[in-house]
Amino acid sequence: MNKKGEMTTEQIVMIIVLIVSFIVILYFLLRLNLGGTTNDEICHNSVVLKSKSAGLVGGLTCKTDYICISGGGTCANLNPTTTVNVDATNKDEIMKAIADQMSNCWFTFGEGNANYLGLAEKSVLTKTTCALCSTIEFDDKILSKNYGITYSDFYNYLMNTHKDSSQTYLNYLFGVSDVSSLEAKNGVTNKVVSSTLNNNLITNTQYGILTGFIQGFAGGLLGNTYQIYPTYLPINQVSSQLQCADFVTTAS
Amino acid sequence: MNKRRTGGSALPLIKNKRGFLLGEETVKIIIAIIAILFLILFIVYLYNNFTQNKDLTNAKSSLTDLISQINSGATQANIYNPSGWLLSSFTSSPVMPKMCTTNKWINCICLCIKPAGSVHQPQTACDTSGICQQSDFSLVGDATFIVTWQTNSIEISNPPLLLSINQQTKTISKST
Repeated sequence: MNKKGEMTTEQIVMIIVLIVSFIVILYFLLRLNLGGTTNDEICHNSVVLKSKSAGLVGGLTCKTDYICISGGGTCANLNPTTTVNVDATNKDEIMKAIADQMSNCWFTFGEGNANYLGLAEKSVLTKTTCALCSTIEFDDKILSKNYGITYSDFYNYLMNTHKDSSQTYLNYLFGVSDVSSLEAKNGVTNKVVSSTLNNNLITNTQYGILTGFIQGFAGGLLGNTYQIYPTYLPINQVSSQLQCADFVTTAS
Repeated sequence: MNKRRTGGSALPLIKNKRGFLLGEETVKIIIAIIAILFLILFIVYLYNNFTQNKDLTNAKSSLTDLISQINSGATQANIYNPSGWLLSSFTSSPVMPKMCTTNKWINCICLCIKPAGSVHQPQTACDTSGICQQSDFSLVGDATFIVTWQTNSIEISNPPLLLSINQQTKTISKST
């Protein structure tokens, strides 16, 4: 400042530069959303807490995500919480959207390493407890393409596509490297896989992505407890294929 | 041998040398059993309280989601939990749950615990444990049921419960 108390041009430029820099930094910080937590993170944390405490501490805070896989249109029967935009003309992109949702589900529920069932989920008899990670519907633009992709095509896609540099989707989701090993899995996965191989992957019905556990007698103390690997099924087949007695997820 | 017999007959309220449990020890055991029973009852109470709260939370989420699907114009919806609860619609005031009458709703849909034991009607069950929301839609239950209230109710059994929503007639029925 000069003797009259006026600011020099240099000072004014400096202040402007400082303010602009601050705004730019603030913008990027806000975009990072460091304090934000998503439903998936909250759910994953509750799964970890419950499994580490052998089901005695905390409850699961997991909500079903309603996903519209859209090629630019809208999903008629779904009020989506998330819209996944894909290129309707690209089959692989649609399959990748489904595979990513299955991976999210598998990660959220502990990748098979976390037994998150508490006392409330235990039963004297054999019991299937399911978690519905997401409900999926496809928009009219994708449906109009009538791709005729079967589950078999999808499993081959999972087998041949890398999720990351170290493993394929099939490796990550099911711990196997080929589709024939998938059919040899214990529990319910083998049955679901063999019974759906020739079914259409994309129809106008709603689909669910589920995981869970099949507990043996006496809450798993007698008899084996099987993991339900991430399963993509039409909602109207969930009851017959998985026979879930209980769902640990709540509606959004 | 003689000493043992004499000791046993002279002091009948204490444990004799042959190890019989008498008097003081018996009282202690009875008190311990009663205490354990109370503890078990307390744990059962806590467990029921916890699961009922969990069911009510699930019911709130499920009903809110159903109403949201109805309002968005959807023609189908699914309800996953709480298993064994009853989805019911109410249309006139004498048989409505308190939650609907206090809010002065003419029509409402409720998701409530299933009537059992001394509770015979769904509106009474809703007053015990349940959640309601205002809606013009009515439920079409299974007409083959013998109990009359079941004509406006659908049970969440073998979840998920798949529902068809008819936006023209404003009715909700179980998908076949």
